[in-house]
Amino acid sequence: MSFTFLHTADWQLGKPFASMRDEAKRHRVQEERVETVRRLGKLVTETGAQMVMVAGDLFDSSKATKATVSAACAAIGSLQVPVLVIPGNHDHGGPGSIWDQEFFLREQQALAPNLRVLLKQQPVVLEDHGVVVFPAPLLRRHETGDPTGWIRSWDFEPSPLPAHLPRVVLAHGTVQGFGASQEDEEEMGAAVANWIEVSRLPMEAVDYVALGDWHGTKQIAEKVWYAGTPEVDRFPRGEGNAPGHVLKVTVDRGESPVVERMPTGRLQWREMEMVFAEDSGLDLLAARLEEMVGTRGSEFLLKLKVEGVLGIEAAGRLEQMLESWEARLLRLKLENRVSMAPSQEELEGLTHRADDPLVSAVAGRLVEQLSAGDDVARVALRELHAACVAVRG
Amino acid sequence: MRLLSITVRNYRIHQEVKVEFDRSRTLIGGPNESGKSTLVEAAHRVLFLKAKTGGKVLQGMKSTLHTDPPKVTLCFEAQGQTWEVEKRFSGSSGQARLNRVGGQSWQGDEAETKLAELLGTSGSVNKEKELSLLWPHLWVWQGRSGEDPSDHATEHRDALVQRLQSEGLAAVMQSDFDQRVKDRIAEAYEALFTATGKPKAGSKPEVARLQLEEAEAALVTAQEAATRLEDAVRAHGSAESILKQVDAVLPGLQKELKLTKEKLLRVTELQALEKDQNRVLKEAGDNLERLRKESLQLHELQRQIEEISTKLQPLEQQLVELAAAVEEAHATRQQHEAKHQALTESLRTGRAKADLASALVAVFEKGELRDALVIRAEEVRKAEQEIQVLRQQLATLPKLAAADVAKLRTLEGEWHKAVVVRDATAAELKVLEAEAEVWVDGQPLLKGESKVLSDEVEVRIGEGTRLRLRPGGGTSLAAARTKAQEAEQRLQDELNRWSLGSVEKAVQLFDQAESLRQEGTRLLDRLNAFGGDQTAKELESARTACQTAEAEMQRRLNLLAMDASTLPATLSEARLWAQEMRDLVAKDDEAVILAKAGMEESRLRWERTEKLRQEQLERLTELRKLWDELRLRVRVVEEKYSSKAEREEVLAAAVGAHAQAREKLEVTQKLLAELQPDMLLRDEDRLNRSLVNKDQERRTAETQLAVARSQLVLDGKSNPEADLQQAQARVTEAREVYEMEQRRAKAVERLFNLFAESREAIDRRLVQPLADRVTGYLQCVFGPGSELHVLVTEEGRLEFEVSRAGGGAFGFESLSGGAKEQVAAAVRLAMAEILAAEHDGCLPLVFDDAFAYADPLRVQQMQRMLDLAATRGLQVVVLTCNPADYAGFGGAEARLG
Repeated sequence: MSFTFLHTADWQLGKPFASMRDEAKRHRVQEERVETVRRLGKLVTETGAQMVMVAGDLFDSSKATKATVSAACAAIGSLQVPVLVIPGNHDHGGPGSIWDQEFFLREQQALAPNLRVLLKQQPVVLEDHGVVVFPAPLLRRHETGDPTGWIRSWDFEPSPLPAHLPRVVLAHGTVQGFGASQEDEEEMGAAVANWIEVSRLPMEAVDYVALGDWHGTKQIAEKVWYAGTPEVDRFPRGEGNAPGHVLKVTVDRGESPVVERMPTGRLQWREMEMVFAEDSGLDLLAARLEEMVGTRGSEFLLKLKVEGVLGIEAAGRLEQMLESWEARLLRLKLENRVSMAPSQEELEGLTHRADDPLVSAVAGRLVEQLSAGDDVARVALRELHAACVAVRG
Repeated sequence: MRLLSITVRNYRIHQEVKVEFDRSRTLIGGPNESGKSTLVEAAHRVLFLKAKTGGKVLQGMKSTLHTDPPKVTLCFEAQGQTWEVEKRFSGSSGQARLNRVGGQSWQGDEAETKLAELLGTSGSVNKEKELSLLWPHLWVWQGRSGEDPSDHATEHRDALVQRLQSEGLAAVMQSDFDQRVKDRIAEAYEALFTATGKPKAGSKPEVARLQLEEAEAALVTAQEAATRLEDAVRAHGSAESILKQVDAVLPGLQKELKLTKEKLLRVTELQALEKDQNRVLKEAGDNLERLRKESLQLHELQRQIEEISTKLQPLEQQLVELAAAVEEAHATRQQHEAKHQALTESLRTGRAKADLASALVAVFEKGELRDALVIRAEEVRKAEQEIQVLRQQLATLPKLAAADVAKLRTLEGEWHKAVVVRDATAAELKVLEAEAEVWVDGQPLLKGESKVLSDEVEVRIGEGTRLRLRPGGGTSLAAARTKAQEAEQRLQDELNRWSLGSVEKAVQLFDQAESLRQEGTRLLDRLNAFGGDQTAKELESARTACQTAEAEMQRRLNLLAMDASTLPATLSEARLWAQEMRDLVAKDDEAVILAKAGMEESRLRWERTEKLRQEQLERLTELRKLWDELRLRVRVVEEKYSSKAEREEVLAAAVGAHAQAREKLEVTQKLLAELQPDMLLRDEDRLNRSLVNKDQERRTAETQLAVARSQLVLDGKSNPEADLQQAQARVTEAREVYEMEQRRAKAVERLFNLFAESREAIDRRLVQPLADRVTGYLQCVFGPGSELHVLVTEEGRLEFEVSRAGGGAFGFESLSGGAKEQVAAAVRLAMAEILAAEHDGCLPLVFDDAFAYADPLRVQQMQRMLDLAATRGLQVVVLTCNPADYAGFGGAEARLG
């Protein structure tokens, strides 16, 4: 008897996006994640999924605010089908966790009666829905053992489970070569934690392993998938990372699962690099940005890296341009390595002023200091240039 | 420009004076008040003061000697020509004239204008204040030579710089553009920094710094909040793990404690058993000991009985012998006693008879004595009766003594004498015949009776006649009458005392008493001759003695039961019998004494023998008693057992019981030792302690768990983790802004400083040629190594510092008065030298007593400096009151006064 469900993970609702300075924009990005969950409702209807399984990190933090909890419960409640959740490393169970809080339990009951949180390492038989779930909840942020370890030692023969029901492992953690922990700087050092040894799982006894943690969608083995996050939450890193999906999974006992990627993401997280060889490079950058974003700045988050050398005047123009784009885009993460170097013309304009001995003397001194690698001199030159321009009118 | 000559007329003290100037060096000498300064002023005013100037300025110039207006004529060279200017200062009628020698002439204002053009000024002036601003660097007025030359230098700065630039010696000056850019930078700097170079409150970098601090503080708060939660999670975990550990350990501890307690219970039982067995062992030991002792005692008793039996036999024999001896002594004693008794009886009878005889003698003797006393007693009684009668008679008479009688006689005599005297003085009334009764003072006076009238009396005769009679004689009668009355009274009082009627009676009674007393004395002598009162007593006792002797004699007679008739009838017979009896008694006495001695000796022998026997008996009795006791004791022991064999059996049984008890005890003790009771107690203690500790641990952990749980309940208003991330991001952002602002502030500071430094460098370059020139002059005075520095202030003002070889730089104001004059002179000379280029290479310098503070050596050196200036083309004019000091100057000399 086949069973279809949506495999998703890493919603990380309430993610603070702390490095975003603009509060309204930050709020917009946070809001979008909840909206993405709501949009899953349409997908449930379209795919005929009987259930949604969230493989951990539903919340970004096990200390999510009440507002986040309410929003999450409301969104989940709108999905109409049962939603099975295990805690991940971000929203791990255990003392004081979000799953423990009275407020959550109240909101769950009021808004999301379809939500079921699996906190125990024991099979959950859902006869009505036709599936057996083997949850591997994380009860602390860094489990030192394999969270699926208990499944290995589960006594499948003779099995007390209904033989006809497909079996789904729901787990959150790192597998060989993949996992959020490896790429997430803030989680470095805990790489050995939450380590799932897929190869040691009794693959014959289970039909699908639904993983969470890795934010890209990724197949690990025939029956083993990372669903990735349904709404991208970071700038892309490396090749083969495909976030912004959920997986439509159809399983049958003893059969290979049928897995289909369904796009869900809306926000555009992009990267761009620009190296300035001459001042005219500015125009090229302007054209490229215009082409990529146009007027849809509110959907774009851009990681922009600019390098090279610009003259004093061009550097000023770049600053103005960046100022504009920072305002237009949902987020501009800028890596500005452009060094300001006065052009020959600018230099002469400052230093060769026979009638203005004072300005040219000062400029001359600054140029000397700049050539000795003094960065203050660079800024000072720009200031001097600006002052000269202002006085000249 | 060079001065050639000056003529001054009607100018203060000068009526007319003319001085020629040397082309280079002029020395004008003259004492004080000789008009040197006036001359200098005249030269200055002819050049710069309008001729039509009036008022105070003019008044100050007017001659003190003449009414003519002051007039000054000055010849000078300028612009390659020789000129003569003449001004007549007389207010509105003042006249000015300028002649080019050998050429054109100018009058009035034209002359003034032309002159200004020649001198390079903007025109002549008419005010003293304006006047002082013209060529002050060239005209060194007396008393002002030490003034700071900065003002002059600053005033001529542009001219100086222009001159120097034209000579290619100085750099270009900053432009207006420079200034505006510089101002803009300064403005930016001032917005960022305070006057002391500190970051300015409210400036962007400061705001950024505060924001960074705020963000950092917020981060700390967020970290603390996050840490608190983490701590709570950790505490929760640790409490759980403690609970788990405690729960894992507790059953083991409890089991161990239970086991230990069981063992301890067993120990208690064993200890009780041990105690009991100890008691049994002790009892068995005691019993055994007792039996052994008993056996030994029995042996000893039997030995002692044997020994006593051996001693007893001879003692018994000896006692029998002693009893016989006692018996014999007793018989002997009885014989002696009987003999003694018989003799004593005989003696007693003899003595009674002797006593009777003596008593009989006494009876006779006492009878004789009594009879004699009876006779004497009769005599005494008679005498006493007579004395009694006498005493009764005497008692009836007053007890007058011879002296009393004599006193009475004396008183009587005195009274008789007083009566005689009275009667001789008084009247006498005598009734010779009377028909009627005569009454004197109520007393009847009968016929023949007379009455001496010693006092006033009332005489009544019959019923109808009353007479008052007053005796004469006056006071003497009264005195005699009183005396007689007193004497009579005294006599009467004495008689009354003795209750006598008269003195004669008294004499009679006295004589009667005397004779009675003599009779009494005689009777008393007789009484005493018969023994007096003693005789009666003697008689009484003699009678008693008689009765006693008779009674005694009767008693003895009765005792002997003798017939009284057999007794001797007289005293002598009695005495004879008595002697006989006494002799008999003496003989019996001796016999009794002998018998008594024999009796005493036999008694003593008996007593000794008896004592020996008693002693022997006592010894024997004691031994017998001991023997009985020993026998009794032996019997007591023997009676316990039916036989000796039984007794031995009992002893053997006791030995066995003792050994058995010991064995049992040893078994128990071994079991106890194996249980190690001390260690068990410690174990119990230890385990109890551990359990308490674990319990405490558990409770603490439970509390910790509860506390952690409560801390882990979130308020849900914020997410501490998100807050922390946000706070970190805010810090990063604030730091970026802060660093950017810092960079900009540093850049502005850098620019500001560079502008200042560069402007200074430019200024220095501008004024360096001036400094070099001044230095040239200074070295004339202060020697090689001395140097002048020109500083250009922010406002463009020139200021001077002097440094000497081997010393630091000093500002002008800190120099001494002399040095000030000298440095100022050097600056003036240098400035003049530079500015002279616009005046045909020459300018005059007038020093009016300008080196007042210089010592002679300095003055010599000054002359070098002045000479150098002259050599370089300047015209030096020195005015002094001591021309001799400037002998080395080598100038043309002129004298005033």
